[in-house]
Amino acid sequence: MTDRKINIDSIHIDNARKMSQLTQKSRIPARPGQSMTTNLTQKWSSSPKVAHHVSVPALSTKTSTSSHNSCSNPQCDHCGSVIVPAPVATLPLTDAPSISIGNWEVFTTRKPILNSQDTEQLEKTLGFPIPEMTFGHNKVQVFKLSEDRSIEWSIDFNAIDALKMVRKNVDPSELLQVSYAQDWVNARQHRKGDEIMEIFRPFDWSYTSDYKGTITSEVPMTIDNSKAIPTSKLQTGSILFFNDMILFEDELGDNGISLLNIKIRVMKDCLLILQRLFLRVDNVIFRVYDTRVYIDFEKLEVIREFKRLEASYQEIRLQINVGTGDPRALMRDTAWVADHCKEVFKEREYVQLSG
Amino acid sequence: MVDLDQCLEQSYEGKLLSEIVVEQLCFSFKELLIKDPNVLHMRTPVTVVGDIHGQFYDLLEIFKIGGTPPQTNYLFLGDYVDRGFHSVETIIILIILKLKYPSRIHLIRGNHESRQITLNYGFYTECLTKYGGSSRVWELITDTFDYLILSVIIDDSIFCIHGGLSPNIQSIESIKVIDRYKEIPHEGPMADLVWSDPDIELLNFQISSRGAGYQFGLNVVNKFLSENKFDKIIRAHQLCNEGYQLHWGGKVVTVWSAPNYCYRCGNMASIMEIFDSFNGPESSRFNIFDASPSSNQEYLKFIGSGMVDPSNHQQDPDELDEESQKRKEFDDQFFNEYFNGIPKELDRKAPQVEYFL
Repeated sequence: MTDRKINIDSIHIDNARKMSQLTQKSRIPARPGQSMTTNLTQKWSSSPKVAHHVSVPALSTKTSTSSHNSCSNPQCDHCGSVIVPAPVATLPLTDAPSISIGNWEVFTTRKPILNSQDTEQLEKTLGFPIPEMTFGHNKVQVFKLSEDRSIEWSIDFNAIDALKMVRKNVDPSELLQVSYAQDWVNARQHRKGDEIMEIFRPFDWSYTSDYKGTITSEVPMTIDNSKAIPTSKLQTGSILFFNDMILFEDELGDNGISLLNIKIRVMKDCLLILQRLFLRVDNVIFRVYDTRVYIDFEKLEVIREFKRLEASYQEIRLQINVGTGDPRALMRDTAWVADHCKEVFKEREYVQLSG
Repeated sequence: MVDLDQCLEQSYEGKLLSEIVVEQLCFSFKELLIKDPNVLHMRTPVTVVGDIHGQFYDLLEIFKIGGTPPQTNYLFLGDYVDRGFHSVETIIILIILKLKYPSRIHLIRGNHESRQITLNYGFYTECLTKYGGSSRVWELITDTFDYLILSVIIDDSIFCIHGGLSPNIQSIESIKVIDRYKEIPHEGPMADLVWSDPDIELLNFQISSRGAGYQFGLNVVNKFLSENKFDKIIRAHQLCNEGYQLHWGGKVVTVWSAPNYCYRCGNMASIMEIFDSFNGPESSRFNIFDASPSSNQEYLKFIGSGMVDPSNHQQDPDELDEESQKRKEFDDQFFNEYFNGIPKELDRKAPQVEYFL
């Protein structure tokens, strides 16, 4: 870091714009929920030690004019109406909407990718290069509070915990290889005077991870494949809260894509989280790993479903009508690919929480 | 010959040029590039620009902060297309500028300047969408990519490439002999120049976990610099949150020029302004910038910010009492002013809410 001074001096030319942004921001009335939300979600490493001393009224579908809900971001101070887009959802790129329903609280955070210091530190901890775009501060958290406002149960989705489950120090022969790897190796061997070079830090470069969210709870989840997520219930009722974010993304050196995305939607009596790991290695393989978490606020039950879907590149390609102008567009469509992969593993877990 | 000034004027406004005009531009562009050697020499002062990736409005921002050609000499390190929404506009304006000021602006080939890669990462799809389902413009433009140069040497002391070094390249001579007028191959020196990455924990070359491609270390860099009597290597290719990154105390420099990459990374970008090659504190600087206001509008298209369309859940305006109604109008106006400059269709548009299962 000291070298930076010797050689190159960096300057920020957009100070003026930042100033004007700050000025504009300061004109926005401070909202009571704001500071709490940011405190809550500032540190990606923090365990959910949250001071809950703010009263959380149950949310009615009709937003009352007098309500100033600590947790639910979108409300305006003056009239209680939902502000879209919320002021915090603009630049600088921090965005932390949240909502509470009864004893349940949902927090989401979206921030820029990790800076070089955080990246360096995380790579040291993990022992392999992290994805090009690692949104290490992004997270989705759901808390179930008990009557005394302490946390009874929680689930948290974040990129760091997902990356911790990526396999490292793998025998190179077990690793996925890009389609032209063999040609590449052969081309190399024909060069004279070429010393043998080993694979550097062999790790699962596809960032495949069985991550299903980080649960903090006294009550363990039990495997129970008879419990199904009630899709019919999820198809009715209006969505009160929705968010969609990326936890990490990497283009695999132009050999495809590895993308961990998470979506959440909250209705008045239940919520659904879908975390999807999408992997495409060009001319090799497709993988879709889905984790769905269904929470019923009334029955106090949580169902978590984990699915591994897989197909070879060829299998997917054969299902695309080549007559269409841009066949590869479908290969970028995660939902379409998920529908056309084979299920290779499925497991459901269940927990019943106490009132 | 087309009227370059007219094309430039249209392009600066973000307008698309017709297929016929693109064809003529591409032809002249190839005619110009074929005369350039694989390794081109430039003199300071020069401004080095990293990956743009179709972020056209950020490119205009670069011209705003770094000076418009021909007032500033520019060296672009590649990756003009894919990912962003305006690959066509970006590459076309660069082609026109190159045609108009051939000695003031130079374009190096990046790994995305390739038919294969652009099929997968957005440029092909963008061409189809913008030119009525025809892939002709994509063909014309990707054909010109085969003519782009591979590297530049500034003042005989700074070596500039898109990606990095190759075990097959000990000296500049080995770059000069590459037959570059082809699609970027998967292996060999030409591939390594656009794909390899530095790794500060390494000393030598190592193979990537993917089974193809290299990472290079300090010894490789030292040897290359001393054998060719260079001071440093400037390259792009890797996203950095701060807009630039110095490896091994600045022997290798990464310049990244796509702010808020893909309209969601929230990263800074920079251009590297090199004034002379004495390697002093005043010799160069990074001019760091954030996403341009126009690019931010595109960012807003991307955000679904966790809130639901108020019209579904809010009280009907009729039900509001007079005072609340007044407040609501005030708020509307207030936030409209806050989002001043955002086009009407984006303004207060509810985020997309999805009934996913």
